[in-house]
Order: sequence, then C-alpha cells, then structure tokens
Amino acid sequence: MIKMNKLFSTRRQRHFMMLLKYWRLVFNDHFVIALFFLFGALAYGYSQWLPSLGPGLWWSRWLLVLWFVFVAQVGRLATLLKRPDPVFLLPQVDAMENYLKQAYRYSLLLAEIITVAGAFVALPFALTTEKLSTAEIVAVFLMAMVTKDDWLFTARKSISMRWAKQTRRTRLEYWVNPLLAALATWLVNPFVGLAVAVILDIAMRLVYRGLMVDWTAAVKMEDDRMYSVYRFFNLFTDVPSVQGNVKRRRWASGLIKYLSNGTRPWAYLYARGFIRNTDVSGIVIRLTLVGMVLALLVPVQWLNTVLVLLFIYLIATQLMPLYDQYDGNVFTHLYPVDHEERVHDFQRLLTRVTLVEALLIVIASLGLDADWHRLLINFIVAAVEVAFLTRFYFKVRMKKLSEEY
Amino acid sequence: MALEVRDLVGGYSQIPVLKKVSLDVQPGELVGLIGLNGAGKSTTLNHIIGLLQPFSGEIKINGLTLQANPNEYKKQIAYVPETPILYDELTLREHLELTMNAYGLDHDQAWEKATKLLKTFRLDNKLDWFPANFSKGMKQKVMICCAFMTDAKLLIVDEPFYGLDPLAVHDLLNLIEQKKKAGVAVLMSTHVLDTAQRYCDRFVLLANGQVRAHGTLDELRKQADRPDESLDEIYLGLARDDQDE
Repeated sequence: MIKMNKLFSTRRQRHFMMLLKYWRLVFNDHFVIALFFLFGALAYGYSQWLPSLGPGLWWSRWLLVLWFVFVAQVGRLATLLKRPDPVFLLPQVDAMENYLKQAYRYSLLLAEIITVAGAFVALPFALTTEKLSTAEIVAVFLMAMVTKDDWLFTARKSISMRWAKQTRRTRLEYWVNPLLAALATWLVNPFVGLAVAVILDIAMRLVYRGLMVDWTAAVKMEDDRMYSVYRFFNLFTDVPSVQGNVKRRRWASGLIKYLSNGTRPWAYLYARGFIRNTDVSGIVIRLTLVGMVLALLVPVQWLNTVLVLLFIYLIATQLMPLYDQYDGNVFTHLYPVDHEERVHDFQRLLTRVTLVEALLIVIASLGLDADWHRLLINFIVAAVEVAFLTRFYFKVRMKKLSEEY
Repeated sequence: MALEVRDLVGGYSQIPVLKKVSLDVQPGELVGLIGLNGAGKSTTLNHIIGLLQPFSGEIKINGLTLQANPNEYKKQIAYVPETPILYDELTLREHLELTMNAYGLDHDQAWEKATKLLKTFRLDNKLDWFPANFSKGMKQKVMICCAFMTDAKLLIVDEPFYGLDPLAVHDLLNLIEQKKKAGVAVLMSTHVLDTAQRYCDRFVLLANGQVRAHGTLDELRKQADRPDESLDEIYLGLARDDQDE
C-alpha cells in the first residue's frame, strides 16, 4: 500500500521516469539538432547585438521590465494530481494539505532554477545599458526569485475552495505582481524592487488563507499543465494523449480537394486530417510563417539559405507523424486497401504540402533588398531538398517507424 | 459456408485467451456469440476481422483467408464495434464517403442505401456534423449506417444494443433481418440474452476462451437437460457449473 505521505514522492519518481523516457526520444531525434542550431543562431545574434547598444536608450529599461515579467510566468505549479484522485482521495483532507506542500516545494525548486537562468540571460544586456553594483545585481536576482515564489503562491491559492472562483483576479495577480516588482527594480532601484517583491509576497499570504483544495480546479490545472508538457514532447515524438482540436475550416475545401486523390480512401482521410487537425496544420503554419519572416529579414547569403533549408526540413518532419495518426482506429485496418496505396497517398500529401510551404519560404527569401540571385539559389537548393525529404528521407523514417512496432 | 473458424488459438499477448475455438456461420443465418465478460467474445471477433494474428487454427470467409487474399478477405467483412470508433476530423457525410471509397462502392447506389439508413436512425439532417461530438447512441447509429451500407457478405456485430434507445434496437433487428434475407451471414456477440433468444438462429456459448456449447435453442436445451428453460437460464446454469468446477 502507498502511504499518503509517500504519495507525492512516488508520483514524482514516476513523473521523472516518464520525462526521462520522452527526453531520451527527444535527443534521438534530428529535430533537436535543428533546434540547437536555432539557439546557437540566437545566442550569436545576441552577442553581436550587445556592442551596438550605447547607454541612455529610452527603451532598455522597459525591455528589462518586460523580460522579468515574462520570466516570472515560466515554471508552473506541478501538483501531479490525477483525474481519479477526487474519487479515491476524497476522505484524505489533512493528508492532501501535506501532499500539496511537498508539491509546492518541488515546483518552487524547479521554477527558481529557471528564474535564475532567465535572469542570467538578461544580465549582459542589463550591464551594457545600466551601471549596476554587485549588491544591486544580487538584489535583482533575489527580486526575481521572491517574485516567482509569489507567482507560485498565486497558483496554489487558485486551486483552493475559497479562491478558485476568482479566476480573473488570479490572472491579474499573475501579471500585475511581477510587473510592480520589475517596475520598482528598473525604474527606481533594485533594492526598492526587492522590498516591493517581499511585501507583495507576504501580503498575498496574509490575504489568502484557508487553502483547502478545490478538486475540480486542481485537477484541471494539472491536466492543462501535463497537456502542454505532452505537446512539447509531441514536437519530437508521438505522444498518444495529444490529439489537438478539430476545426471544420470550410474555406479550405479547395485545399482539401488539392490534397485528396479521387476516391482513394487514405488520401481522403489524410487531406482532411491535415487541414482540420489544429495540431498538425497549426505547427506547419507557424513554422512556415517564422521561416518566411527569417528568410525575409536575414540578408547574409549563406545563413539565409541554411535557414530556408532548416525550415523546410522542420516542416517535413512535423508532418511525418500524420502517417500513423489513425492506427488507433480499427477501421483503418479493416479497409480492403493495399499498404502500398497508403504509403503512396501519404507521400503525395507530404510532397504537395512541403512543396507549397517551401515555395512560400523561398519567395519570402527575395528579401527587403529584392535579391533575385539569392532567390534563385534558394529555389534550386529547396527543390533538391524537397525531393530528398519526400522520396528518400520519408522512406527511412517509415522504416524506423515500422521497426518500432 | 460464409464463416468458418477451426481450432482457433489466440489472444492479445503471449498467453492464449482462446483455446481451440471452432464455429461457423452459414449465409442468411444469425449466430449469437454468448458469454460473460472476459469469456473471449471480442477476442474471437478481433481475430475474425483480422486485427489479431492467430497462434494456430484457421479462419476462412467464403473460402478466403487473410494470409492468402487480404484485400478480398477484408472486402467480405462489415464490422460494428462494441464502442463506436470515429474520426475526429470527419463529418458524418465524410465518414460515409470514406467507407464507400475504402470498399470501392458505387457512390450513387451506396448513397441511396445510406440515405435510407440515415432516415431510419433520424440522422439524415446531421450529415455535416462531426459525429465525434454525438451521444453514445447516435455514434453507434453512425457505425451501423457505415457497416450496413456495404455489400459485405459477413456482418460482425459486437454488443450492438448497449446505448441504443428501444426504437433503435428494434430498427437494428429489422435491418439484420433484411440482411439475412439477402443472404448475409451475421455473427453477433451479446449478453442481452432474451433478445438473442428471440432473434438468433443458433448460439455459440463461450466460457473461459472455449466453446462451452453450441446449436439451436432446442439443441442447447437438450444438451443442458433443461427442456423448458430460456436461454438466460441455460446460460446461467452452464456458467455456474463452470465456476463450481
């Protein structure tokens, strides 16, 4: 039997095992290399950008305020509650108090690590645009950490019987409290900012008492959190519980027609699945837009071409999981249709979608300076890449997938 | 013989759930597959529709096997699952169209049949809705429409009555009757025994993955030595005997 005071630590261990399983898959994926490249490019850009800044910019303090308010939003309260808990743990009122305390401490630890990392990222910028003493730097870090504690406490009280209904107030506190502390830090001085953060943190705890858990709110919050965790992993691998929403999108019926293939059942299914499932089409649209913006704005020839290639690759890989999206549905196994027909129909959809997205990005790479030479090079390289991805890489991926079963 | 199962041993993992199950269904015949929860009804059906690979034994539909003629074999089957299984992204109309495409049906003829079925189940005004948001009973009706619209020679129906309103149960039984008249073989698993007793031509009683008894109601009565009793009582008697052993 699991004792109630051990419940959280057993759950935390299981949660770690689950995360570990997914992280292993994440680092096995080529997608992660692409992301590293993107991060590298961002860091490079950041380091190139700093020396060009002088002191006395009107917006630098506001940017710092904005950054610290956003950093405070990262790192949520992980209660690890599960749907059946309200039924099975209903009589355990006192034990739940203890359970949630442990959950709070665990979440706080993780959130503070993220907060410190976030503050570190801002540090070079702050030191370039501001004159900060060592004590002031420490005060900034402490302010960020206390604000995070305040934020997490807001989350904790939002899942209590007494305060759960005030969702608007809670949402306001998530943003306004960090904003007040950050404004005091950067517009007055870091010590005042720290004082504001501490006062807010204490005030919150004095105002909000009686934190008996509201099961509905608590389970919903944890469900939402886990869903976003799964969504992240779903970028790299298939997570069964992430399905996305469905939108009819009547306006896209022309596109569906373009992607279907006469009366072939798999093409029929894939075309509609791709267009209407917000999860798949959503990420393809987002990647295309980001890719187009970058291709438009980056003037360096080689970097531009690499980015174009990268985004076409990302789009193609994010499409691949659609292939076995319907394996959970018995009927797809019952249809009297050859396996080759399915592979062919998926390949067709993959080619058509990737081709359209690649064209859009290549056209965007004409750039603000209308460089036809760059457009031509990108066009040729992209065409080769699309052919490679949809013929060769797709086959390799399918082989890998079928070996997993 | 429409469906022929010989000495089927099978199950989901390494451990066999079914131990040498044999049964057959003739064209135009409704056979009831009866058993408690976990007796192996759905497992048997999953083997027949080709979702599971038998460890040993043979399954033939009109002389075809899944291994030798997968597409022809699958064309013979229409299936109504125990819990409705639908595509989130497709409307009711598209579910029907996809089924027509998958089975290579003539669209005009199939739509004629489909429209009749939809009218029967009062779904004809919901063609552009997403059935994934329907109630359980309405979803089941969509499954029935898709299956009964095909020209399949063998109809596999898994626990069809659960979640259907009494009118729909009645309509479904009528549809099965029509299919039988058209020479379709029907295998239906259920534990609604009084309905089964009234409508099925023969019964296969499963317990612990084995065929405990099979035959018409009269034959079962003779075997169990309970001449006047209902299917319900005969089955309960057999099930209790098994538990006592």
